[in-house]
Amino acid sequence: MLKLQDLEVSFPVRAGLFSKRRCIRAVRQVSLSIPRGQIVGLVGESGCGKSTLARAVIGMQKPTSGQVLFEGEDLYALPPAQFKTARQGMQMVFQDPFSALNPRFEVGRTIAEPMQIRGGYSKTEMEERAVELLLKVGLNESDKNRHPSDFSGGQRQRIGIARAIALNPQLLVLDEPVSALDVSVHAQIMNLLMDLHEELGLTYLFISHNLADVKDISHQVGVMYLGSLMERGQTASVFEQPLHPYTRSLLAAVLSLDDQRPPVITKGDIPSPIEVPLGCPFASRCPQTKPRCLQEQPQLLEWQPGHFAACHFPLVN
Amino acid sequence: MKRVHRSPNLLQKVWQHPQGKLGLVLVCLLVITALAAPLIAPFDPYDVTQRAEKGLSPSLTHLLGTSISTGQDIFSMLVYGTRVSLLVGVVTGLSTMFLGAFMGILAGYGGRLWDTLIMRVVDVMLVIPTLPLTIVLTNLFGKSYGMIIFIFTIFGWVGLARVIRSQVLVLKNSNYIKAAQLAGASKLYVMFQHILPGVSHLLIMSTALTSAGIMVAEAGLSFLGLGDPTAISWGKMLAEAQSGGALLFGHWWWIMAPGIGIFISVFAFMRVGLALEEVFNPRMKRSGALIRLFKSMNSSYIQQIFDDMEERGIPQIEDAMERGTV
Ligand SMILES: Nc1ncnc2c1ncn2[C@@H]1O[C@H](COP(=O)(O)OP(=O)(O)OP(=O)(O)O)[C@@H](O)[C@H]1O
Ligand SMILES: [Mg+2]
Repeated sequence: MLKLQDLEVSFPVRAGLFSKRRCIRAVRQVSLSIPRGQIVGLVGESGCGKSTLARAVIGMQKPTSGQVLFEGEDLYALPPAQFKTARQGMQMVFQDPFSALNPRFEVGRTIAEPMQIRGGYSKTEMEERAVELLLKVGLNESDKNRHPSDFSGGQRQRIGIARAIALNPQLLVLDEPVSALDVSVHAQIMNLLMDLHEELGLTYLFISHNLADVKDISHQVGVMYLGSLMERGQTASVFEQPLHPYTRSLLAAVLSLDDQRPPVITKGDIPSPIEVPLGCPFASRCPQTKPRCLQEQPQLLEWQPGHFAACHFPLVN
Repeated sequence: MKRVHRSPNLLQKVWQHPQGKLGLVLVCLLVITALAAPLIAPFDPYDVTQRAEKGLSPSLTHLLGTSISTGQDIFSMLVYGTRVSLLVGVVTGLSTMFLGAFMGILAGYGGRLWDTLIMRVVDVMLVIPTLPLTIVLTNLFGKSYGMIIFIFTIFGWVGLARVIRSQVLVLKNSNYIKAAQLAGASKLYVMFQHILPGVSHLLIMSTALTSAGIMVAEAGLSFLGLGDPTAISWGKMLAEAQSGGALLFGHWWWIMAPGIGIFISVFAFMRVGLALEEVFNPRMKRSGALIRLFKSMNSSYIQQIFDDMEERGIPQIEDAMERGTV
């Protein structure tokens, strides 16, 4: 249903007054597909380009090159009117539940807003639907007349989710939807997202830097590093048998790996996205860097059925 | 925690503010005085046949005596002067608000080109000296309050536009606007449903503060003889009192009357404006009331408030809304 082909997003930056113009390649040649009804998780450290990718997917950030294919159509090549309709098929849930709601709007109005914008709904229809959505995300009917300031972070996130599903989108892009929440609320919202997925048959692009969340919710996972997709595959195989040393180091940091291979210790700092080195982006921190890694950027190859990694020397048994 | 009660509206908030209440009462009194001037004033100062003996001292018929130069009833002039002061102040306050809002939103939301263009104009306007230009323009196009309102508006929108622009830039990046755009909202929808309501509190506050500042400025210009020569205004009364020798003859009431009129009207609007400011931005407690009042006599103080808000970041107002204080 959603397909990214060699997606590239770069931002021009000027490092200093007299230095020449450079580019931050926030997303580098990412190819990814999300089948209908599935949840694809995207993990990566802060600043690796996850949000930029999300914005490109929902049509808010024109890619420098590459394509976003939504239902087989190149989103950014569509004429404005069709672009608008196509985009209504996807919605987004934002990380920060505080800036996601207009403090002046009553909750009912916030939830009904997408319907009001699309048009074609009567006032009572919108009200009924808003109440239905409120109940669906675990809030009460009476909450529709309250303002966002009356709600906690978790409740606001529920409101944001209700608004996102108001137009029955096919694809929901969730950019760190639970990262800003307390532990207990965190679990509640994760459960709500899983319930909605099942009930409404939605497709999710679930972005997080929390491996445990991604593991819980996703069918497939993609691992990003400095704008590049390093590994992707079924959640179980990526988490149990990571192919890329980067994925392995991520997992080693969080989960206890119970296999015999020596743990990967990641050394050094993340290079600046402006000066991503030639060769493998991870080469400067990889414990098994070989000369080839410094010269040639590895392609994302299918090392095992359905399991891809961009590494010259993947951890295949 | 859910609060059940609805927060009171803006007017109620200002009313509950101790200084704001006084301001509102005074503003109402001023408006009534201006509207009902013919009923309140015992004489019509515009009517040459209703002039009395020149230079009378206060009495029951002439509460504040009569002017030495023309024999007009000073109390009646004071009452009628409210009209000019309020009219020029409020009309300029409103026109400045409209122009400032339009320019600020266009700069913040109309794209790069408009932004650069408008901000360059703002930079230029800020360095043009207002008073000499006012003298030149009134001499060129005739002295009228229309002219004064025009000039004040042309120079007054600049500060407001800057504040509005920075607030618009903050709003533009908020996720609720992104969500609306995702649902297919047009630029106009976003502007009227999200951006305009998001800056409305700044517009209300600015109107009150600008009106106050303009009343002082209008009095100053009328005193300098740059106002409408046929109208009776407090500034012109002051000028007449000075040239007519009020001090020489010890007619202090002739000077006090318009002075107090100016003071009260500026005080009233300033109080309302500052009460609004505190309602919107409760963390920002300013200096004592008296000091502020003196400062408020200087119209550049309004600019300072705006500059201050720009520096400290207007998002605070959003915070205040979050916390439900607005
Ligand atoms: N509009 C922009 N202009 C210039 N650089 C940008 C812009 N947006 C993002 N970047 C840069 O692109 C890189 C990726 O940013 P992005 O926000 O996508 O990361 P992220 O993975 O979402 O991080 P986080 O986990 O902190 O949300 C960062 O280095 C960021 O500085
Ligand atoms: Mg992000």
